[in-house]
Amino acid sequence: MDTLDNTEWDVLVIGTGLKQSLLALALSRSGKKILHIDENAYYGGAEAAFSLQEAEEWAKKVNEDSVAAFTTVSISKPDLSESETSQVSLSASRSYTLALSPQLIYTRSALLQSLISSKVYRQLDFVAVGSWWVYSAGSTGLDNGGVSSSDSSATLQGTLLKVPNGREDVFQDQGLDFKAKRALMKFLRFIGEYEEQGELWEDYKARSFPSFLSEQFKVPVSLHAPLLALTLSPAPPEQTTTEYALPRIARHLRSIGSIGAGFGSVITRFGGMSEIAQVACRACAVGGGVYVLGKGASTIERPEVAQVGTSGIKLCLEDSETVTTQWLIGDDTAHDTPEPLYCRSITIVSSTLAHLFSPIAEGAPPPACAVVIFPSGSLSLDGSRAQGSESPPVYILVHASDTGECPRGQSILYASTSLSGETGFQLLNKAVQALLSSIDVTPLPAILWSMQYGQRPGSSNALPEGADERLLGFSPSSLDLTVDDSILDQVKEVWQKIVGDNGGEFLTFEDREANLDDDE
Amino acid sequence: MASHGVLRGLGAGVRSEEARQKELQQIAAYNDLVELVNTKVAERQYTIEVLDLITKLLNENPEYYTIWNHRRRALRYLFAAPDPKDSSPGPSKRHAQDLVESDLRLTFLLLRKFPKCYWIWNHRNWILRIAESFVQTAEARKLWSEELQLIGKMLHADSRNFHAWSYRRFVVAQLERLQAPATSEPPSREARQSLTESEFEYTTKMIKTNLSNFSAWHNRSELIPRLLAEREAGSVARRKMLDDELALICTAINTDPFDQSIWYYHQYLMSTLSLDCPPQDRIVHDLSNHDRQKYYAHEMEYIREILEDEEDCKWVYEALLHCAGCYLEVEGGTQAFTTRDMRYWLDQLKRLDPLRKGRWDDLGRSLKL
Repeated sequence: MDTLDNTEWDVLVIGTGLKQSLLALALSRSGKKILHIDENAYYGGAEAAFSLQEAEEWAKKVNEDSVAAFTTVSISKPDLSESETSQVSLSASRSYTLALSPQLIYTRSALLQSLISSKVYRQLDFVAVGSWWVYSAGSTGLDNGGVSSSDSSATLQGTLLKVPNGREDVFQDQGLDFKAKRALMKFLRFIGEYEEQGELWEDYKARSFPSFLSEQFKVPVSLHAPLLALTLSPAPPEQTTTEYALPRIARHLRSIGSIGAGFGSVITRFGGMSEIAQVACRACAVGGGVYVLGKGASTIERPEVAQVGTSGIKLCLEDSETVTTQWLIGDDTAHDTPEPLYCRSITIVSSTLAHLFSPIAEGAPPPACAVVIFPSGSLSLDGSRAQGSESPPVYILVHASDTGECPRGQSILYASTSLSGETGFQLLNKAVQALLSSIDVTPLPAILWSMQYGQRPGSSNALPEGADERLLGFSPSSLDLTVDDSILDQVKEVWQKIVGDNGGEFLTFEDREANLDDDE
Repeated sequence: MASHGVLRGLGAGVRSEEARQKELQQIAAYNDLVELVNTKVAERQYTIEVLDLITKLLNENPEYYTIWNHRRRALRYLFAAPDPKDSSPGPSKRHAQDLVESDLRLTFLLLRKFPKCYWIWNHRNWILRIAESFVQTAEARKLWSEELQLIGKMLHADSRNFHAWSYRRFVVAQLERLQAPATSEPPSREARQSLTESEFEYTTKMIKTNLSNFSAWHNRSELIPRLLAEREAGSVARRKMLDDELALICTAINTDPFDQSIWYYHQYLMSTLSLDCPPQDRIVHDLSNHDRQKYYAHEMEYIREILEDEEDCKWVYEALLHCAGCYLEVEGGTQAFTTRDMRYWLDQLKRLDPLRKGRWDDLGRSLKL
């Protein structure tokens, strides 16, 4: 169509982030007239994935125009011409697909179930997430006494310890003495059925998870780190509550082995969530949905107030086009706060970091993602020893080239911490350096390219203001490193309102094509 | 349905009336087939057509063992009969081989659907022996080593299938039989290529994958005496084997004292220490009573430590009482525990497992508590 002006729709969805895309997918067989727009020239919103060039353009835009969810992007390309260590150099821009918000999908998750029941899993390639590693700083003389700025140039050789995934890992772990094994196992047995043992943790709900571990299970402090790691909590240990931690650990452990031996979570190739968003939107397009990128709800900062009339909601788009729709969906930015602001970075490294990707089990697919956790206090920033247990942890998701995100021989480090500002970025850099120096590989891995940015939950594809039950907003994307089931709940709620009672089962479809391979 | 605490699949759901009618039709068809097959067999009509009918029936119900017997009778008849496509009279080896191959395929497919049916395993066993009789040694070895691979795959799919483990031992035995050169002299040590070492490694691998594997532990216990004999292990090597196994099981017990299969293996190791253990089953041949006492005392010591963290594990108390009994039989005077301790453990057993009260009372009597 040439213009959208004066067109009428049943559903208008603003933004192609994960939630909106899943909604589009859910509505793809409903026969409704759907217009799906995004002010960006790309799919995915805050979950988008970029080539190098696209990343550079995006960085410019963020720094100049101030995009709602992101701030202070900076890119650095180290000059490696004099360096002898690296024979690998940065490849062409299109060889990379860098995800802004990489997330793990647990196999026991509503998202994966929905991808399967809606059949779109057929258009996605999944790779397994393998071992989880906890970083432990090496103990040298620098631990005691003051750290002067001249000492901080020495690299502490830290170690990476694998997180046990269950009984057999605990059995084989020679770093655990018998008491530690028993304590861990007792906790693992509990977590398997923790919902039924409320009396054990009721009183600890709002209390810190470490206190629960110590007091109820006598888990020594040295073993708290691997258990906390499994929660992927952005907060320091003392601020991670028991009621936050337990369901997340339970989900992790219950997921292991549920679709294949040895692993409990997956990621999709070629950009993670952005790929899922695209596949979902494609499914909606096949069902008749109309897609327009680079079309915002308005060009001015505060979107035009939508006018609600009896025949539907009238909305003004960019280029002064006016459309009418029965339902208007977007991101709800009314509750946007400047906090929390996370620091994130993406680093392209000239090595496969193969050591992190040890095989997970016999007959299991080779892993393409590894999780490295830097517990609170395991990294010390230059000149400052005051970090201790108040500084948040750092998480690095390591993606191998099998994710399709970078060429062979390279890998990508996605680092994230809830510490904001310049100290946050410094902490991320420390983590990246610590990771690279703790892996024994020659030649030493070199950094080919890196980008850092601040991110908060927020969206540029905001729902215009206006109170109406047909204006439905999604809460902005969280900064969680895993996809939470509540996302599906939100999408379902909106979907239910739109389709009423005749929608059939949520995100459950038959394959469109008549004859498909039966194998999976 | 749970087996030793491990859940297996979902149970049957509620059927609709439509489904029920369909099932009644299927039952009627099945009964007709059974009658037809039995009639043909009674008339001794062992033709290819009847064989096909038997195949159809077995696909529906492989547990009907009599039909497997009929199948073997039919096959024997067909082996001896001339090939219908052949012009020459007399039994056709080619024809027989074709039949064997198709039965191998049949049993393979059935085993995938019914991996725990004794009769399928049994028939496959029978077929392989027949197959072996058709070929030379090298071919025969290939036959059995492919079989070993098949078993490996089945155990990978379900590592706790005891049928598969039992069959594995059988296949390994066949391979070893075939690897001995056919000379009149006893084979030299170099010539004998036994699979015991690799099979032992295999049990280690399976245990590391899943500690709760009764069959893997059991297989390990079967292999150890053979392993020691083949290695021609002397006193020192034997002690080391015993100590290593005890250390392994100690780590396993400390990891998961609630798992029964681990204790099962512990009991096996304790049994090898006992005075009553037959010589061929012993791991160490030169145990003195003092040695025994030390072993029992050590076991009891670390098992007792588990009580610090787990008060409600019945296996711990049972093991302590058992070891205590063994200890008392060889007691040299020093005592690592008291009668009061033993009474306490017995009381805990009665508390934790009241359904077996009679057994615990009996145990108490035998220990004179």
